[in-house]
Amino acid sequence: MKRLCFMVVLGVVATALLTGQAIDPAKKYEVTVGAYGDLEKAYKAVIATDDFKKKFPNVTLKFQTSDFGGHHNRLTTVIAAGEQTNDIEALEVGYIAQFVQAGGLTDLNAAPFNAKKLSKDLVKFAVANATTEGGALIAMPVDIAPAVMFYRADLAKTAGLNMDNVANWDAYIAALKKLTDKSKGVFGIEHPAAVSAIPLNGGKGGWFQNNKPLEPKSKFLDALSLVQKVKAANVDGDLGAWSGPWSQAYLDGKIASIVNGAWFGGTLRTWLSPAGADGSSPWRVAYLPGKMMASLGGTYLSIPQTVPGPRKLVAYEILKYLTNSPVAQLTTFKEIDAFPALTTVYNDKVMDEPVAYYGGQKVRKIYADVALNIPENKVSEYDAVIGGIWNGAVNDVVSGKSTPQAAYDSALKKVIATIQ
Amino acid sequence: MNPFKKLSTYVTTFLLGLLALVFAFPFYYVFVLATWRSQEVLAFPPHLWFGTGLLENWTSLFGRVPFATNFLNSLGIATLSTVSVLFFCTLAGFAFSKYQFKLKKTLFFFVIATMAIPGFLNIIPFYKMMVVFGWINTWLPLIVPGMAGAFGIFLMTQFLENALPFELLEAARIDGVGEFSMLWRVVFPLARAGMAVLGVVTFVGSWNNFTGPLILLPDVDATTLPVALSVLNSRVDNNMGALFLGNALTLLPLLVIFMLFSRQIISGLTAGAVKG
Repeated sequence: MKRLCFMVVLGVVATALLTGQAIDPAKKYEVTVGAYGDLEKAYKAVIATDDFKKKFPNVTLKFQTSDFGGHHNRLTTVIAAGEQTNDIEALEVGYIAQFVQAGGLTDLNAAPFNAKKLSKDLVKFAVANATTEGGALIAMPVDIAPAVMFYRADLAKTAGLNMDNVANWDAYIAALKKLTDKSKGVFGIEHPAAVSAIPLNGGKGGWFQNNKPLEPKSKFLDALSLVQKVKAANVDGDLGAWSGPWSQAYLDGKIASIVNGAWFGGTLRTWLSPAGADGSSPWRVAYLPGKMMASLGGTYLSIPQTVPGPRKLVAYEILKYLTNSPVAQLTTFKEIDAFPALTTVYNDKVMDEPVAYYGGQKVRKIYADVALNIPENKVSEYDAVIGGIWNGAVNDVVSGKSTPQAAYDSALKKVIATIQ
Repeated sequence: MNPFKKLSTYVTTFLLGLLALVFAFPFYYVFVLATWRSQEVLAFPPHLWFGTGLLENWTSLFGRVPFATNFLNSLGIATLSTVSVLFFCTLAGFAFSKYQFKLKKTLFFFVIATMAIPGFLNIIPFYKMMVVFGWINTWLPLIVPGMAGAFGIFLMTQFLENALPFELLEAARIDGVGEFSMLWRVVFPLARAGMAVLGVVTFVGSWNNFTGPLILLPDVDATTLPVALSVLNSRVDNNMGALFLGNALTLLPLLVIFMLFSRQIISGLTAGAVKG
């Protein structure tokens, strides 16, 4: 009888927890968030909005922020130890596969969260990346990085080029040749490796086809051949990203174009090429050559399994707000140029507004169009390792040590040795 | 002096001076970059002289990071680690070098063998233990487990083997000095050079430790400088100037310690280098 009573009480409590209000207006809550890079800055701006304060007057967020590598190493260690993490943990797209395969994160599609109905408004490819084969959604995409071409309109005009609809990569390389003026120290592009990830849709997944690594072969050979062509065209400044000469070249206006994720616009705006007195810069945005659709980055928010039940419910309300509230999504975009994963905001009037930094160009429309058409990449737990091997192959082609075919063969051998 | 010998001395001095400049340059450069604004830090060709962005960087650094709190955390953890390591490792080194007891060699081998285990291999069980002890967000996991580290025990054992004559210990015993007070009156004074080396190595290791505080001290107010400064490392919001200022300020205690103890460190490092 005692056991029966206990079971009934337990059932009532569980039901109340699962179906009742996650946030009691009479209580105060503190949700802890593990973040990296600029995310804390963005989310602090979100919680400062009237909308957040109105919806969550009794919730405060506490951040544990570190640099990119440190954050993911900490998270991996604590989850592997089976110990309690922060209530919400951010994950970069490159790490999502590891957790999709290895577990440790709460299935947001399961009750009481039932996130399926929410995730339908998020970009499809990003949701697919965070979904296991069994249909569990282990994290919710919060921002994505549609890949575009940034180019300097002043240099393009001098070279007599229209960069808005570059037909294909060969046409892009031809344009880079015209943009390059070595007598003035101007280069079409920073480095040949800068284009290497685009044909692979960012290279954060998609390394396998039918369980065979680096297939289809043509996709990978094309990527290496593109790198080789750019190198052979002699249009690059041989500038390693995030180095002194690299940033100085941008500051001096010596780099004419770059293909990268939308977030790079923030780097240009705040750092590499600040706007003039009128708020504008010479930079413009165009689709990738051949209107290729690709992603170059992105962030997910997750709730680790070790977070206690009642905290999970509160954490989910905040996660839901950050990923599904137009105010949160647009505030994040405004703060750190992290493009919204929430597709419903693509129709917001702000997306149609001219952006002063890009000379009044409506760049957000381009970002949104790319975002809606990015193909899905199947992720695997080997993605990070294979990505490292692949970078070695790209470097071999850039340095002229290997042909694309030889670099591909060598990379394939290493990948097979790694996964077997 | 033979003119050739004189010339050779000048050339050697010049080359060593040049080498010293090469080694000192990165330290100087960190302080130079700390005075340039974030957008100017990565300028090329690089800045070799001080800039005018110090105040801006200072405001940015102290606005983003609870620097004073993190500095005190770093200082507290590094100091307590160093003091405890010096005490326990010298104690163990004294025992291993001057006492005879059963299984001494086996125990010493066991201690040394722990050095062969890469740190990252035991990070997960270590973390779990710290959770069980309730030590997360405290200084204890960064101090207590390393108090009697294998490296320190090995270093002090080897050092005391040569620096502490048996005759001196016997004389102290004849004078009625107890075993433990011998540690204070005889061992520590004679082990100063070795302890200086171990102290600096421990302090620097603890001061620069990133992974430990990152995992064990999740609260921003509880963490140490390397972890706190990593917040400034981002790709869109450029805080390079503040980051370099933070690095420069972080370097200062290490420079002060080296200046204060350089004589002992050098004599400790060279002890035993010359026979006789």
